Amino acid sequence: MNVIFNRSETEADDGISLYDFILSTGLNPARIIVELNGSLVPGGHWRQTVLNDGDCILAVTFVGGG
Amino acid sequence: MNVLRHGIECYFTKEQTARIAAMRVGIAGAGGLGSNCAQMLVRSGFEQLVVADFDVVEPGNLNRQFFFPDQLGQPKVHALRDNLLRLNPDLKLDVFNGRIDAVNAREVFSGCGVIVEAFDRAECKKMLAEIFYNSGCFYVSASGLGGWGDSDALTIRRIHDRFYLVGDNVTEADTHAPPCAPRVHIAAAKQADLVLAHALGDI
Repeated sequence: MNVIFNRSETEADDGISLYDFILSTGLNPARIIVELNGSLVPGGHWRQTVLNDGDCILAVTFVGGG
Repeated sequence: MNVLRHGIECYFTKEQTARIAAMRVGIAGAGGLGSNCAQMLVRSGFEQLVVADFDVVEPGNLNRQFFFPDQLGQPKVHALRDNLLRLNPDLKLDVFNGRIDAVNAREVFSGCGVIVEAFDRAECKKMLAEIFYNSGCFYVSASGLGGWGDSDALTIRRIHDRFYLVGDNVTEADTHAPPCAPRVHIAAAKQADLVLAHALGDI
């Protein structure tokens, strides 16, 4: 299936969880927040959130320093 | 007479100073970002602050944080409180000397309409962002401010209408790109400026 990740269309396995999709991007789950179709999904819910065709995922990455 | 208030009256209307003074701002972290952002907010007329940090002042902090050599060893929140009260002795300033986590964050910052995320660790930035993302608070985070040079890369990203992210989103502060006053202060200033614009009704 196709999803939109950070504004670019990309392929994803049917039935993939949000958690596994994030891992497939190479991003560090501990350092990102994720919106799915305009709503924030807390990290604790990623494993049970299943992606659908056409879903829109936005990930904001944090780096250390402050 | 409160000298700072008197000075600020040169620049703002009574209505503007009232709006600024009425806003309660939570600052998560009193290091490079937080101590400097707090200083700029107080200089801008903010009077209600909650500042949280667990750390103490160390020599390595003095290159960028709003502390002084005679404050070494003091809890950062206490040293910062002393410095801010020198600017405005009438501040309503609450300090929390401890770690902010997913359990206590809402309570520590209860009543705050604005949150400034000024943590050091990326994992903590994520934790706090998730808590306040849909809270209705005006939230200003920061990510990517290590090193020196290319300060124009420290931009403001609007994630949604109450969530802004300051920084270059890339340069982690580490041994290769140590945190230095110019970029850290620019990031802190951009955070403070967003808060000021919000208080004045522009965003």
